[in-house]
Amino acid sequence: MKKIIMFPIFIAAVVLIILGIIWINAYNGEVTRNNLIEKNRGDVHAALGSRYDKVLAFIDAIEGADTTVTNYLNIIKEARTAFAEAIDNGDIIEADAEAGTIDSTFVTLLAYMEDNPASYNTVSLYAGFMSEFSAATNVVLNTIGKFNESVMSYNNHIQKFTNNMFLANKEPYATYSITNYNATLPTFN
Amino acid sequence: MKTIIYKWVLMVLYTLLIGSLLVSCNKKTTPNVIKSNESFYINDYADVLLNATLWTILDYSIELYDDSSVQEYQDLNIDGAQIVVLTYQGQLGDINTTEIFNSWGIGKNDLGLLIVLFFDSEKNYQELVVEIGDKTSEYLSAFEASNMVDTYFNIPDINPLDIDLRLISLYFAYVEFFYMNIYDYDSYDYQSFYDEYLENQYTYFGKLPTENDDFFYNMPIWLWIIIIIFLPNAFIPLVFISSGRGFRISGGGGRSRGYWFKKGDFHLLIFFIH
Repeated sequence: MKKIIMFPIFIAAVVLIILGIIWINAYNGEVTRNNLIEKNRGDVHAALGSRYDKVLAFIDAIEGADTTVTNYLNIIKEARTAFAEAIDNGDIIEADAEAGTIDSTFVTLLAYMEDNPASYNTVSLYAGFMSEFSAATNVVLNTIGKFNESVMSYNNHIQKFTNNMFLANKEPYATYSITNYNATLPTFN
Repeated sequence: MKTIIYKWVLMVLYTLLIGSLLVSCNKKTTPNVIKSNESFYINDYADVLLNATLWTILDYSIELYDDSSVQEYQDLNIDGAQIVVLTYQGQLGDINTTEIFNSWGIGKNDLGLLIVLFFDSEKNYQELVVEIGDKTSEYLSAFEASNMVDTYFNIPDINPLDIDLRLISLYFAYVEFFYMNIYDYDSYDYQSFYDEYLENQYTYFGKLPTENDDFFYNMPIWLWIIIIIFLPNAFIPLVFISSGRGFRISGGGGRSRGYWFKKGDFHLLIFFIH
């Protein structure tokens, strides 16, 4: 009789322990992956910030800019300030939007200058800067790649069975778009 | 009884050994990454460089590593600089230079530099990539490294087809940069090293360590497995003998965040313009 009573209790205890282990695994896995995403996002913004510092250094060296170039430079400078403020305020969406503005405008600026190289006394500077810009772009791409890998790992973790039973309230992260970073920039010698 | 236990223990150990060997055979390799050779500092996979060039890069890279590994620099966490050269027959997209840099672990304290030269199927030079280690980038920007390529590699004075001389010219410039800007040397005799290379450019100094016939190094996996199964008592001594061959130089665990740039061959551009 005692055995009959003990058996369901034993089964229930085993089930509870298994559920507990699954819950702990799901929770800890979520926390670890979320922290990795935060860290990788910080790396992306640090890489972007460093890239924009270099953009500004280049802009400062441009002399004799015409109206078209001046307009581009103003857009970039304003977006750079807005990007820095958004990062300080922790406004990630705004920071990413400003990053998009800076990069797309800067690529347009470079293309314009490439078409009119003789108009600027920065041609010698230009070749070196293209390498710098290209290298900084590669760093950004690398950090974005790592961020997107960690996002995929997180999203898979929270959506997989049985984790989805315990993490149903967690939203999947969106990956970074690399629209502005995968453009092949010209090589200058 | 003791013998039976001994046999069982041996059996388990051999099973584990064979298992680990098989697992290592099946190990996933990252695509676009190639292994470094035994010489580490110079990997002439395109088979285009002169013997003197190989030895020059090997010798001076070892010297740089030794010179930068003294206690003074260890205290400052800037010891163990490594400059590595790789030649590759193919295109930039065929290999991932950042993954190669990181898997080879070029430079201790992230103080590494990787120069990759790309050649086409006819072994004509195409372009160059310079990958800069994480800490190296605090001293050497892509901007400056790129200007050095223009100043020392794309020099009109050197025959454009003399890739060896162009490479050595650039290589010594980077070595000089490391000594002068990271390790605060007062001077570096770039010109005398360059002249010395010029004198010996076509001298044959002998095989590099990687080119030496090495039976154990080249021994196929299946032969190792047969030895483990049929000559188990010879396995451990063989491992020791094979691992003791020559000298092995390896990376210091350095990392790159993907800070690299490429430069096309300016001579080709000039050719097309004309």
